Order: sequence, then structure tokens, then C-alpha cells
Amino acid sequence: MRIFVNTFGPLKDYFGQTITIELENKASIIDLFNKLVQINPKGELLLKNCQWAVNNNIIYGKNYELNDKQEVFVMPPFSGG
Amino acid sequence: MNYLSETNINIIDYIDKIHHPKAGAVVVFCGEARNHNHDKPVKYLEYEAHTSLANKVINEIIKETKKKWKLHDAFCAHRTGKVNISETAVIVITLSSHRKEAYEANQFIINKLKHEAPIWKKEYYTDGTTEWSKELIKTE
Repeated sequence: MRIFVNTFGPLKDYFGQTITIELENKASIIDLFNKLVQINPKGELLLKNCQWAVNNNIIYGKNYELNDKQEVFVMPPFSGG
Repeated sequence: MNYLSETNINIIDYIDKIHHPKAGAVVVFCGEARNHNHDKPVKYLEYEAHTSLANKVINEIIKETKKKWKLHDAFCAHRTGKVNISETAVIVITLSSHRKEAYEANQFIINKLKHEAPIWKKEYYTDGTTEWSKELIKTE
């Protein structure tokens, strides 16, 4: 299945602002994490500190199952203010 | 509700508009872009946000704060895009009957916003280098 990933802040330097990822059916956030690390291992530390959002909600727990053509937002630690 | 602004936040306009007849205390916090970060000269800042989620999170923070401190009103606006030195990056206004609640609530909002709203700051230095703010990134 195909997942559309949006990144923000410093994560863009590792993966670009948007990236499309192919994953096996019933893949979860942890599978997406592993795929991104595979694409750019240098981004692993930052990815570990990221929060993940789907449908305008933050996902708590990396076992969240993804759907085909789902948009996922990967958000590094916030630095507003 | 939209709490993000792509254009300049005029603090006087906000103060002028936001009043409540029951409020004896109006506390305004204004965060401005400063010209240095860890002794390195900064030329300007740039903010980006996950717009819909940031608006949702800030709205929840405002609602929670109004309830917790029984405020008459509370308001917040945060810049996105390029923010020049001494321009306003964020404004928080709290209105209550007495000053204690307005001060506490104001600090609560800005602290929570910094940690929970999906907004990111990039610093552009005078030497041409850039850096994403790493204030909240764990190193191990």
C-alpha cells in the first residue's frame, strides 16, 4: 500500500517535505518508522523523538495500523513561541 | 478558530479590541524575535506549522485555561512565515477579574503552547547559516 508522508521542521532536511512510501498491507507506524530509517539512517535519532499524526489527531502508540493512501504527518519536537 | 497569522501581529490592534466588562486585569505576553541565539547574531526567524492541528491544539489550550482559571476571556496568535527582529512572533492575552489569575493563566498558555502546538522555528543567522531550533530535542 501507499502512504503519503508529510514532514516538518528539521525532519525535512532528512526526508524532504513530502515523501511517498510503499508498505505491506496492514503496516503500522512502526513499519513506517523502520522504512524511513532505512531510507535515511541519519534521521533515526530525530525520528525517535517525533510525534505522528493522522486525520488531525496525534497517534499515541506505534502499533496504529495504517490504510492505503493514508496521509501521515511526522512531527519533530515543537519549537514555537 | 484561526490562531495562526502569516502577516504581522500588531499588538496595539489586539489590545485595543480585547476587553471584557468584568475583567479588572488584562495581561499581555508578547514574544518577539530577538537578534541573537546563544551569542550568535540572528538576522530573522521563520516559523512553520501543521496548521489544522496547531489551531486545534491551541484552541484546546485556551478552553482548558479559561476553565481552570475562570477567565473572562483569553486569546492567542502565533506567526508563521518570516519574522524580522523585534517583530511579534506570539501574543497571549488573558482577562480575569483580578491579576493573579490573569498572570498565571497567561504563563500556562505560553508554556503549554511551546510544548504542545506543532509549530517549528528556524533561525537565520547574519553569517548566512541557518538552524532549526533544537530547544526541545532530546540528545539521547
